[in-house]
Amino acid sequence: MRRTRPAAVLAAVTLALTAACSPGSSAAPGAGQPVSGGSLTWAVETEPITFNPHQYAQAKAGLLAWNTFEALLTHDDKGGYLPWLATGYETSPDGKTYTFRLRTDVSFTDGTKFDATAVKANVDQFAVEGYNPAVQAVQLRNLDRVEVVDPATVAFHLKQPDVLILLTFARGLNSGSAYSYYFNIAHAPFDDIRVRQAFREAVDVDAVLQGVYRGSATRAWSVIGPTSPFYDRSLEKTYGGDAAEANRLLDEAGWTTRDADGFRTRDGKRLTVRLVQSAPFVRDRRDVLAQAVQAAVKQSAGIDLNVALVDQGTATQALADGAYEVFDNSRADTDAGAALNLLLHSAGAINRTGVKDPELDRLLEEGQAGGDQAARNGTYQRVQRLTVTDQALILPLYAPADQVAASATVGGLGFEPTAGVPGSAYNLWLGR
Amino acid sequence: MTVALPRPVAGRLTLRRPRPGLTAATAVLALALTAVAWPSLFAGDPLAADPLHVLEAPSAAHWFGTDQLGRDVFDRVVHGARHSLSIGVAATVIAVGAGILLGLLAGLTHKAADEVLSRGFDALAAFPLVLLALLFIAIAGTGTVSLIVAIGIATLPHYARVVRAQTLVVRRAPYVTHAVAFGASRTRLVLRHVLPNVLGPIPVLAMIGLGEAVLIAAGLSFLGLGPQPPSPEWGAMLSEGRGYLHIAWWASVLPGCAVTATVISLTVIGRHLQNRFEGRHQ
Repeated sequence: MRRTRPAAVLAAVTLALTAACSPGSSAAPGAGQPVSGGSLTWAVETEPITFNPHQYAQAKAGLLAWNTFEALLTHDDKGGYLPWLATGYETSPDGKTYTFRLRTDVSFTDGTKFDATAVKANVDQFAVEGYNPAVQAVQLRNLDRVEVVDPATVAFHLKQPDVLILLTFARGLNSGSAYSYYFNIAHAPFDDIRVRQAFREAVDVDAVLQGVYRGSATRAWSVIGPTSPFYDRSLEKTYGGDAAEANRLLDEAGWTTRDADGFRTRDGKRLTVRLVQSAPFVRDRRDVLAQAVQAAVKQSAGIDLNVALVDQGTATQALADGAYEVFDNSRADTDAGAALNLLLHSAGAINRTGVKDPELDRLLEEGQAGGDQAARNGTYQRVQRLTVTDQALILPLYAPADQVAASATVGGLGFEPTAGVPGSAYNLWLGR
Repeated sequence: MTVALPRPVAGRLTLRRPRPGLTAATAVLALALTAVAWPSLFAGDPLAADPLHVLEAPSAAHWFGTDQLGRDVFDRVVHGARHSLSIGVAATVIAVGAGILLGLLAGLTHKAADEVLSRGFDALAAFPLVLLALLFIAIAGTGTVSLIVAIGIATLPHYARVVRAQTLVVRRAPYVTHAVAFGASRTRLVLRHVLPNVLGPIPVLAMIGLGEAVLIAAGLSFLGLGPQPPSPEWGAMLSEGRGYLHIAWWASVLPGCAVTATVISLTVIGRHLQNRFEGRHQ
C-alpha cells in the first residue's frame, strides 16, 4: 500500500551498524523545520532478499519495505498502537473479534481504492500454502476468518483471544529477542545438557564483546533483550565464563581425550559443532563475533566450533537437513512474546533448538492469550528461566542496537519505539 | 716494453655483476619456503585469539601487531605462507601436468582431435583467469581443493599450447623419424623421444606461472572463496583486515606485503631463469 502523503526526505544518511546506542533521540541540529523535496541516500548493510513486506525476515530490509508499504497500525514511542491505514479498532468483550475502521482517502499507486476487500485479500494471502508458513503457523495461528463488513470496516474473527495478533497488522520493529546462539538438542553432542552448559562456560562473553565491539555492545543475559518489560534481570551473572567448569562438564560427559589439533574427542569422534550463517543476515560483524567465539571455545575447552558463512539457499538447506548444532538469531518483533513463539514453541517456525516441552508451550500460549502486564511478565520470566537456566538451550550474546550516522542537514531521524532500528524514512526531511 | 694484460671479457663481467634484485628475491623465497616447511620455527599458534589485546600496533611482543580477534599477525603471516604457497604450487602442478598431457595429445593425434583440443585451449585462454576460476568455484563450491583445481584449470592453456607447439616441431625431427624407421613402439617413441624434448621451456614457464597462481589464489581468497576462517591465508587476512584499515593498517597491509614480496620474487627468479636459458630467443 503506497503512502498517500509524500515522504519528506533527505541527503546522505549512512547507516553504520554496530551495537549499542540508545534508541531515541538523534534529532540532527541544523536541519531546521520539516520541508518536502530532495533526495536521500541511505546505506543499508544487508542486501535485501525480498521487498515483499509479507515475507521479509531481515530487520534491515524492513526499513526498505516500510518506506513503500503501509500497515493498519503503527506504534507510539512507548510501543502502544496508533492508527495508520485504520482510523481505529475495537475489541469485542470476549477478546475474539477485532474490528478495524479504515481510512477512505487512500489509494494504491495504480489508483485502486484501498478498502476492506484489499485488507482481506492481503491477510488471506497468508493462507496460501508455502507463501509464508511461519506467519501462518504462529502470528495468525488463532485467526479464524476475515470478514468484510463494509468497504471501510473489516473484522478479524479469532478462534481464541490473542493479543499478539495486532502486531501482525502494525508496522514496526523492535529488539524483541537478544542476539543469541541456540543449541540444537535434536542430536549429539548438544542433546547432552552438560555439553551445552560447557559451551556457555567456555565463552567469556564480556571479553569477546569487548574485543569485537570495543565496548559498544550491551551484553545479553537472556533470550529477551534487557530493554523489554519481560526481561528477567535475575538471570544476570548466573552462568558463563568459567573455563574450569566447562572442562569439568566435558570430562563428565565423556569427552575426555584430545586429538592432535587439541580438540576434545569421544570414541574417536571430535567434539565438533557447526554454525551456519546466511550471508544476507550477517550484520553487526556477527561473522567476526562467531570467529571470536570459535577461538574462545577452542582455547578454553577444546570445542571445535565450525563456522560456515554461506548463501541463503545453502543455509536454508542446512537448517532443513538439521546439519547444524548452533543457530544464531535475533528477532526484531515489537513484542518479545512474538519472537519467543517463533523460536521456542514446539510448533515455532524457527524452533531451531528442536525443543518440544509441553510446559514451555503452555507458558508461551498463556503469554500470547493476554492478561495484564504483570501476569505476562511472570509468564515470560518463567519462560526465560526454563530455557536459559534450567535447560541451557541458549547462549545469549548481545542486545542488538543500531547506530545511525547522518549528515547534519537531515532532520527527524529517530529509532522505532523501544527498539534498536529506524523504522522508515517517513519522518525525515532535508534542511537547507 | 709492457704488454697489456688481456682485459676480462665484457660478457663475463656482466655475468658476475651483483644482482641485488635477484639476491633479495632468492632470500625472500628462501624465507617463504622455510615458513612453508617449518612455520613453528619462528611463529607461535596462528589461531590463538586474545580478546583483551585486539588491534594492537606492532611491538616487541607482536612484531606485526594483532588483528581484530587479538591474534598475532606475524604468526598468521608465517603460517599463511603454507596455505598460500601450497595452493599456488598445487594449482601449478595440476596445470603443468594436465597441460603437458593435453598438449602432447593435441600435437600427436589426428588433425580433428588437435583442432578440438586447440580450440578448447583458445576458449579457456579467452577468459580472464580470475573469471574462469570464479566460474569453476561457483559450480564446485568454495574451499581449498576447489580453489586449487579452479586455478589449475584456468592456467592450463599456458602450458598446453607451448607443449603442443613443441610437439609439432619435435615429431618431425630427424631423430624421431629415425626412431620410427627403427620400429620403436608408440609408447617408447612418445616417452623416450618426444616428451623429453618438448619439456624444455616448461620449468621456466612454471616458475613464472607459480607467481601468478599465488596471486590469483590470494585474490580469490580475498573474496572468501578459498580457505575458510580462521585459516591464516594471506588473501583472507587482507580481506578480514581491510575493515580496520584506518585504525589498524598492520592487520591488512603486512599480509599484503607478504603476497607482494613473494609474487615479485617468484617473477624475478622466473625471468632470470628465462633469460639464462632462453635469452637467445628473446
